[in-house]
Amino acid sequence: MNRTPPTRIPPTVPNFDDIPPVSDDVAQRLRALHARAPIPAHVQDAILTHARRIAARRAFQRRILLAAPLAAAAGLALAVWVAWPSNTSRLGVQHPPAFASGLESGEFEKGGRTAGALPHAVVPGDLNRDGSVDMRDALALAQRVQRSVVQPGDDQNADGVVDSRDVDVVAMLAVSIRTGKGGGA
Amino acid sequence: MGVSPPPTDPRTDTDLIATYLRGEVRAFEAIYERHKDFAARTARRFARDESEAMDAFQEAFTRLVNHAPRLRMTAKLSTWLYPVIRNIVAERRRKERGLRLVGGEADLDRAGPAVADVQPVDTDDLRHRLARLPDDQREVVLLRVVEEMSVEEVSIALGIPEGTVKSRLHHALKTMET
Repeated sequence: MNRTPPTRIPPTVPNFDDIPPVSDDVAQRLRALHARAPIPAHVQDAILTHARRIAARRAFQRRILLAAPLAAAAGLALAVWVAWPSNTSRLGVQHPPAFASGLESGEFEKGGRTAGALPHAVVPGDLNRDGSVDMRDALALAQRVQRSVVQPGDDQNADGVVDSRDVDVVAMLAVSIRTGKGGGA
Repeated sequence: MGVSPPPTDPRTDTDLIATYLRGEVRAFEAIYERHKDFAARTARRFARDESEAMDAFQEAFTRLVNHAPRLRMTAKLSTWLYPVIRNIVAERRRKERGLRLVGGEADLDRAGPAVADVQPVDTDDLRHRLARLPDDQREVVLLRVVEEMSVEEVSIALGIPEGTVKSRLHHALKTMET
């Protein structure tokens, strides 16, 4: 016996795109129903004060994040400077003979700092004229750059601008290892 | 009477939040000005009283400030604010008998003078029609008609498909006609 399969009638899908329009009058009255009292001033003040406080905190965090790499580099350089076992200059530059003899005779402190009132050598990067290029020079220059109070000779890379790049130059001089002729750590 | 004043800042919500995150507090003030009326109306719809509404209102904007860096907006900020406010009120009343959308007859009666001052004529009939609607349909009507959200925005705010928004709106308006 042949059985005819039942015919499936697809379910009717209502078309809800045909949404009845809302008259302007009804819409306006609905909006009026939900018009309410204003927001209390103390609530508004609390919200805006919180927004200002959080914005200030985020700005502070941003400054910390920007300063962290520089501080880390400075710390590393300072550590190298302190740990460097040398009675000669930590610089990548040649000291004048007078300065070198001062190192040998002990007139200069270990590390190239002057012990007495010796004539200072003019050394690139030695911004505080203490006879040594070290992180103090870099930090002093960084502070001057930050305060926008620069001095003649601060433009270490001679690009006509005194900025963080000059600080980098001094910092690199301070931590560089002398590899030239006659040098040695 | 306009329930939402025209935004004074031409920038989008996304731009304003990005600007605020760069440190410009006035950008947040612009966001607040743009959305405060909507947020207040939403809070008042769900809350039992003015105090609870203002607590939820303040908490919503506090969360906006705190979560702004992680906010991923795909639509107007109001579509983010609406569920947040609803959830805040729900959290505060979790131990009670559940959240109910305010807007029924008794709730609208509590609107009292503010409503009467604005539109004293024919509001009773409209209140009764609105009160007859189920909560989910009333919610869609309020967002679509009062808040002037698009169907897509209502869909995002409520977390339901656009088709569901349309069907609820269709049934609600049919019911209100009768």
